Amino acid sequence: MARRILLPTALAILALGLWISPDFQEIAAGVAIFLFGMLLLEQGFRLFSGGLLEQALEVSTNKLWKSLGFGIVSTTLMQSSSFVSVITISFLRAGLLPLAAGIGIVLGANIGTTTGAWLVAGFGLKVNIAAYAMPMLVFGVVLVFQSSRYLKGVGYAIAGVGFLFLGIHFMKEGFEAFHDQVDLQSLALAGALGLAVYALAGVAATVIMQSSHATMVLIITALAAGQITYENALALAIGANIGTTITAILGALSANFQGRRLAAAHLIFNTVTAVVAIALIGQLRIAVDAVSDFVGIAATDYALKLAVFHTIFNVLGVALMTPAIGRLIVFLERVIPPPMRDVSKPRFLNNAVIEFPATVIEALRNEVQRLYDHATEIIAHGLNLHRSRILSDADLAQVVADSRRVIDFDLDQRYEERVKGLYGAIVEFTTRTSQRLQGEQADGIYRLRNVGGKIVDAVKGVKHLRKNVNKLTTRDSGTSRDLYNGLRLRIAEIMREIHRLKHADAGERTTLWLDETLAQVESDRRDVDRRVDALIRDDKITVERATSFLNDSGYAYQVMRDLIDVARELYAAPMAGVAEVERLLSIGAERLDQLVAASPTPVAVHDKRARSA
Amino acid sequence: MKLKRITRKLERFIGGKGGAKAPAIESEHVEEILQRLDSKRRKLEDRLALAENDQEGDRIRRKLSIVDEQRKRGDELLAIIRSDGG
Repeated sequence: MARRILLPTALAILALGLWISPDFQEIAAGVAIFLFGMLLLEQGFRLFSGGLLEQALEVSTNKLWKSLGFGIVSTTLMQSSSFVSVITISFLRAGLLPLAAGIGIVLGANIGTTTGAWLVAGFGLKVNIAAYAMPMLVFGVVLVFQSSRYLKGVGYAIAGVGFLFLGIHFMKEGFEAFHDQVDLQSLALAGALGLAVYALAGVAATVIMQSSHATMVLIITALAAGQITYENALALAIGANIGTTITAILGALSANFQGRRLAAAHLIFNTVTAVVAIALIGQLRIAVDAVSDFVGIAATDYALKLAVFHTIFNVLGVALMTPAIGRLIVFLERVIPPPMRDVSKPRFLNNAVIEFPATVIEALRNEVQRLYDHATEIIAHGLNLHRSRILSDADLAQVVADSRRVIDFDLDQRYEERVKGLYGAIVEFTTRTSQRLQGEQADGIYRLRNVGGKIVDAVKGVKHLRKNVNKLTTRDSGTSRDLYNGLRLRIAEIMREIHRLKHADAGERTTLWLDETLAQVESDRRDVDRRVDALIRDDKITVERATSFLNDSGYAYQVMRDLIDVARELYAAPMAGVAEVERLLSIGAERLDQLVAASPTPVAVHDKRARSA
Repeated sequence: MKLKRITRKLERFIGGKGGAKAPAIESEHVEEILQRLDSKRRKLEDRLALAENDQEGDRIRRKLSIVDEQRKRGDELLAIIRSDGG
């Protein structure tokens, strides 16, 4: 809402000012032309540097002094600390710069930007720069219309400097004419109040113009025209230093967490510097006078003395903050943490992968493994078990027996957040890539897609189990508790086995042993009816509870089969040839069933262990 | 029947019919797996000798039957690869 009315209000006030005062019109036009010049200069640098700036940024990251030096030099050349800050943010966002180097560049830019005040105060006010502006504009515009990227860039830069000069000229003229009508000095405020009010005015002016450079030029020209006092000009300059952080803050709105950290560092640095400058304003004035005397600046040349002040207090700020950069980074990392990764989005599947068929299967396998990781967390919690305990070396029967508290989470919501979207992305990816691939590669794609489907089925199976697991495994004792603990234990054992398979040494890894695991599952499944019958006969379980358990065990055994199938595909031997042999030698479900049927029916081991635990 | 199934699969793998070729199966790959199966069998036999009761014995015997089945398939596969000159 505030944003909506801000621009119309600002435009209305501006229109009123332009209508009332022709001199204000000249000053405002000067500021507008100056800002336009900065835009052109930035555009020119973008064009003719041809990535030179980016290359220089890359090599100036390994040392703090290099980052500082880069900030000073680049901002001096481009006369825009905002431009340097925005590029630094984009580099941080791309992960090409560490935060420490980014902060170093921004600190350097704060010193670099003070050269602008020197140029204006030392050159702009003493020479009729409008005379230089005109030919620059003419030559610049001619070059802008050339087809060569280099010439076009140079043209923009020259025209930009021309507009900068022209803007300064208009501001100077405007203030001089304004002085004849209104004496702004009558509004001057002395002491601490003046310092505070004018510092805030400096912040506001820079936020509006989004350029401390423009504000400084405005301050210097107003000071040279005698419209503001030297004391108030110092306060305005301090305020401009805080206001300039708005550009980085606006740039960081669309940036990632690193960009926001840099913007925060910039704000902290400039605010601390401003506070120190206000606190030491008396001492700084003495230092400015001393330096001015030393370099031969006249005692009444306040414009140049302001440039000296601007430089001294920014250098002081850098000197104060540089030793604290390490602590500042620690603080920023704590206050602005990296965002939680959107787990519903694929991490490995993208268009670049599709372009390179060799990477398709590997990327898809990584994504399906990620889906499996998400699913195992839901499966474990769905059974009121903690994955870390399942995957540890602890006695699993004891872990299951001890896990009698319901883990409070919404399984459906977790499924939607962590599994469904990701599986959808996998299906979409396989549909898009399968048209480009043939033969074994296409088969591999579909095998992995089916694995994704089995992972989804396993999660859904646990969802069916959860109601009775919550109700019955929280009891102190009882037959039903033992039966459900048996199912929980078996699923947990399979998850642990798969985890070990995943982390086995490359030479040791084999999926052949999963046949034995599957045989045990089939054996347990065959045995369950017989055991439940016996429990009903002995009045240890009601018929209703028994039928519920039979239904639930059906889901549980299917979860186990799905997990085993997933492991066969995801964690096959690393050598493709060996993995193919293992696939050929693995016994199909039908034959396994025959082998299980032919063997005696031992009491399900997990059931017994669950009871004893 | 099993031999036919394996042969059919092998035709796809070794013959490389259409599309991208599947990973080539070398006899060394099969021999490596057979060695692992033999090692596993020896361990299971040792455990069977030390089995504390019939139930444990039954479970180990079932595992042995699975390993034997895998070994049999491996022998068949190796024979096919060797006869094919692989």
